[in-house]
Amino acid sequence: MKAKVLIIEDDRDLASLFKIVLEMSGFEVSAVHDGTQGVEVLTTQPLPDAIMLDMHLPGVSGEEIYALMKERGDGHRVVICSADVQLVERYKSLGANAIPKPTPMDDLQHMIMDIVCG
Amino acid sequence: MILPKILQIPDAFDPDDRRRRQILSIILSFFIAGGLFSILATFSYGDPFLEVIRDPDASLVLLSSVSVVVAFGLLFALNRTYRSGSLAGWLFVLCLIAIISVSDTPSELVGSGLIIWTLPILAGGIVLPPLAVFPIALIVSIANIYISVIVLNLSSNPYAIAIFFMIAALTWLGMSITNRAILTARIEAQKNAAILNGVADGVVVLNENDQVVLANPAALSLMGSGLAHLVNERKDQQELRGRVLAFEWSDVSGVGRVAIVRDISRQIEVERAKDAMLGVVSHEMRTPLTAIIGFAEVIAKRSEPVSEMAGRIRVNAQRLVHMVNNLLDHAQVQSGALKIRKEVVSLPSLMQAMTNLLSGLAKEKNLPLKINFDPTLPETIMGDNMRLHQILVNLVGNAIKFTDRGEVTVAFQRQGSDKTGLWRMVVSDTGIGIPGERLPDIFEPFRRGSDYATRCHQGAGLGLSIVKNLVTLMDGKVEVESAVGKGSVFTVTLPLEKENI
Repeated sequence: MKAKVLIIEDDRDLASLFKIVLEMSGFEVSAVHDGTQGVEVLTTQPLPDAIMLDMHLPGVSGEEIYALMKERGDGHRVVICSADVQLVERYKSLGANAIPKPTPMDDLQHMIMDIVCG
Repeated sequence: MILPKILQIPDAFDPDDRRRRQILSIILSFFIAGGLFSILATFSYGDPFLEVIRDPDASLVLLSSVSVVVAFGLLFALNRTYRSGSLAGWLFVLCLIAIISVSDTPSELVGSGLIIWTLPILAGGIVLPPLAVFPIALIVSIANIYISVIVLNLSSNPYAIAIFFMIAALTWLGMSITNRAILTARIEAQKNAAILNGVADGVVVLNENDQVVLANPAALSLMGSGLAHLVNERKDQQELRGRVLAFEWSDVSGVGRVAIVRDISRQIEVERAKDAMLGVVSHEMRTPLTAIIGFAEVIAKRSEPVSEMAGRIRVNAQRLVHMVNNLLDHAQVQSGALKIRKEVVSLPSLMQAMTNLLSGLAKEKNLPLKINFDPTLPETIMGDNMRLHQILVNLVGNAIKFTDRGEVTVAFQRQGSDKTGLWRMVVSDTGIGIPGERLPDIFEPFRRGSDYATRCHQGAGLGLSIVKNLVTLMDGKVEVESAVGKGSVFTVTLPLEKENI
């Protein structure tokens, strides 16, 4: 069975790029475009194997979603993806998976792969 | 301190008039004091009043002294009256001539005592406008001729008349020159005062006891009643009622300590707005750039020639990202928001990360990228991984960019003994070099040592400025040696902090 990845990213072009790249690596990918939808999917549906999380989201912010996931003990499934390099560095130093935008696609694939195989 | 107050002339007069009246006041007060002294002296022998009055000599002295005191007292009062014009001065000169006329025997007055007649001319020059000396000389001459011809029945003395007019001419000349000098000084002072009152910067002068001796209107409006308190704190920057004031201090000999005070609130606000805008813009640019680079990467995996073109899209977009990153770092350094972290840094990994990133670029230009690693350096140190990487990549990237032939060498070295604890990153190239006159400002933002060259290099010219700022934040220093056509050597020296075990 294919591993499932959820992309929470408000920029639709970026979301579709990540989707294409991760599908090329053989993942089953779905995407939502705001924080509220993201929380809904995460709380009502089976938990995906990996989550790509943008930080600046309409509705519920990426920070809140990450906090929620961490509280549930699923923080390791999340890859934080942000254009704010300082924010990425801060999360990295806290032990989170974080990757800055612009994102080298190889790095993205490797990171998701590591989490799924983990 | 009553005396100076009495001698002080009210401000209502024009400055020249005021000065003359002041001098007249002083002269008159001397005469009055002399008169009073002489009255006292008359009674000092202890003789009863009536006896003094009966003595013809004593009563004459007494009478003349009293008249001098009364007359000059009246003149003194007149001199301080606004509408009197130069009346007091003229009356004083005439009194002087009258006193001189009766001060000695007529033959003495036109003989050996002749010189005394020059007194009213000189006095007139001081207490009246300079030209007044000529009519005074005329009056003195007439008095002389009267005494010689009418009283003594002699012929008049033309030499004496000539001397009077000569003295008058000299006095006039001297006083005119003095007046002009005073006028020039006054205009200069008015000009300075106008400038001082007009400038937007506050100016405060303190004497050696730290007392405020001068504060211009701008200083008062900037600091209000808290002025003395604020300047005595001697700070370079202070906040007052939501405004930020910058103080620039200097010692001016003969004047004291001078503070130039400037309201820099607006400037700070603009800086903040600029930084915020730069942050937002850079941030907003990253998202579309991520999409461009990502899609180009996906397409680049397809077949030629599409992959070739996609590769170029990616490289160009990455260049934009690099610029945005530099702009953001620059803004953060400027606003003081950039913080240096302390974490474990593996020096071999630092070098490896750099070669991973830049060896491709060096290979494209057929440049050997040589690595030198001092074996006495510890493997791990404390520092900021990301920022050390950034410094190294910036320097090596530049070296490759500006070198077409030869090689680029990167060395990590230990410097000095264990105690001094320093290490260096040395990046040398055999490139175009930097001309000597450009070296001092090579680390300034938006400057590039390359623009003298006919060829064009990309970049906003922020790389070296950021390197310098980062190195400074790490308590280190960066130096450059270069010769045009021979190459450049950039040396970053940093404190060596071993990993705490």
